[in-house]
Amino acid sequence: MTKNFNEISGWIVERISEHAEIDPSEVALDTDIVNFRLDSLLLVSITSELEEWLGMELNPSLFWEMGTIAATTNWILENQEV
Amino acid sequence: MDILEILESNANLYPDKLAYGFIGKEGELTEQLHYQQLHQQVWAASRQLKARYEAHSRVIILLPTEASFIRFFLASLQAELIAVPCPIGYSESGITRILNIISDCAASGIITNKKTHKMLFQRQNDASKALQEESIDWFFTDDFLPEMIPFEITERKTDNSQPAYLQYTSGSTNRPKGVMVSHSNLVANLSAINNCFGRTASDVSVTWLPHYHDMGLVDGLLSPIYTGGTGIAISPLLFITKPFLLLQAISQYRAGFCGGPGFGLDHCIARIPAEQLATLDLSSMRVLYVGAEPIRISTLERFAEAARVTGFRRNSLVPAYGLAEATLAVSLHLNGTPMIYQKIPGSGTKDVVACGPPVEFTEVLIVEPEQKTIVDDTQVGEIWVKNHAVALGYWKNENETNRIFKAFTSCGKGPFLRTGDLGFMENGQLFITGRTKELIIIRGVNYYPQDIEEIVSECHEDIQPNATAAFSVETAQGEALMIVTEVRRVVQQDEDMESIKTRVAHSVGLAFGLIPHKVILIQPGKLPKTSSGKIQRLKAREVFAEW
Repeated sequence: MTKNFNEISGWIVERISEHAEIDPSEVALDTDIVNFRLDSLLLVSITSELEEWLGMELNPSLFWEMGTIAATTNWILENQEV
Repeated sequence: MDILEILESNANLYPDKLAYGFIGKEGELTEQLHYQQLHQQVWAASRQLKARYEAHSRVIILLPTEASFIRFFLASLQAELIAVPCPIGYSESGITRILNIISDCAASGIITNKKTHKMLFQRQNDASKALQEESIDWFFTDDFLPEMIPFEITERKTDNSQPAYLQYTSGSTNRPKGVMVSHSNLVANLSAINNCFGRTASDVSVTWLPHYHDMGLVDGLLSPIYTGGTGIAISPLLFITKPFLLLQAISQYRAGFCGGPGFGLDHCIARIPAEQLATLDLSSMRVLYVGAEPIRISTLERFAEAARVTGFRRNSLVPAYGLAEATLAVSLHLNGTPMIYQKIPGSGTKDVVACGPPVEFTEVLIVEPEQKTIVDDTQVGEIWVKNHAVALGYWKNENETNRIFKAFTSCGKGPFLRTGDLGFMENGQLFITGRTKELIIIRGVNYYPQDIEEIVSECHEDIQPNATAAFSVETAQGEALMIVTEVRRVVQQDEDMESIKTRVAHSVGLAFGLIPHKVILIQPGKLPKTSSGKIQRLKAREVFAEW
């Protein structure tokens, strides 16, 4: 069961806003992830949760490499295994 | 007896005992290895490796926390190869690190599994292309079927004073240093650790440490075999995500031993709700060692207090000191006795915790690092170490080997291992106070400042070349990374400054998975340098740490 852009990006926004303790409305999809000042341990946790939710293997440095929520989501969309 | 003879002996004594169990996502055991089974699999795997690689070839072992790692690590030793445990990283810098280790030790093969192999090439970048083009042999553990090979024991002609495995000491991107550990070094340190701990064959230990790290390999994985006990392993990533699983395993298996960097204790307390903690019984713990990074007394106290409800005894906390260059442990607090706090001589304000007396058969000197004169050991100086666990040196790096492993005092005593750490002794107890080396240690992981500076220098056009200092500062959360860098005069706008800082933070995050605690941009010429243009990191820390 593949997920669409809004579902995935929405899920990531929700996790980041919860962990970084900021309002979801302030988590913009094209902001550099580094600006959320997430501890790298939290990013690892978020990535692991995302793996479980999507049912696909993700590289723990994915967020860093993609830089923004939008880019991360697009990468997942392109690489989801049907 | 070396570790393989010890495994054989334990397989005969306890054929059906669990040697290792691996914890899965729900706390269940996903894999189990019993002594006789492990012994037979190691021998079978070693025959496969022997047929494939020449004696003394270096083989990279690139495997996650699973039974195949211990199986193939020991099999490499049995096949007279030199094992090279390697951190798994799928980012460009992670793969670059693997490439650097391959080239540093001129490896003949990579032992991995198909899943890891697939992840390495999931995204195309320069590093993954370079790895694809490496003319190196890939050995997949998925293809290993122990029952296919008739079991017979072959003689091994190992010289126990030669390198058995290489322990790479940092997540360094361009200057990896492979510590050569011999069978003799390994057994000397395993004996020292386990005698001090009082660990026996009826004991269980739990580890969450990465097995490519000295602590995770030597104590986490090899101590159980050495003592004939049982080791339960949980992957570092699973521990980070669900720290409760670690404590639950200790509770469930009545484990006596566990350890790691202090942040692991902080992580447990921060992430496990008090009511969940209260459901556990940690009264079986005799040793919870803390090391691999400077130990904060607040971490020890907080954990002891929070875990009291589980029956955990404060005297089970074991502050420890060691380094990969000495195989693992140099000194260990005596478990079951109260921890000792003391003021640093000459500073008078800050308390440090004793990391116990040096382990058995170990000589420790306190030395003035510039003149190399022996100082009264109640004064702070560099810690120099001599024992049978001091490793052979760095692989193919004679200069550094001579400098670090073969140091002599001004009065001609030696050879000693220079640890690069500062400390003092008091009533036979060793205290660690700081570092002469500029190494940055965060959450038990070593980073070389030069590697971080290089990434920063190249990440933005307005950053001056060769004008960045990376160093660590103490924060309430432990050691944290600080970066000071000069930017060109044209950059005056606040928003430009902010965007440079973001770029720096992002680049460092991408390369090392670390977020800088602080990035400071300064005018050209403001960074402390020597007259020959070398960056003075320790001076920079003095000047900028409080900004």
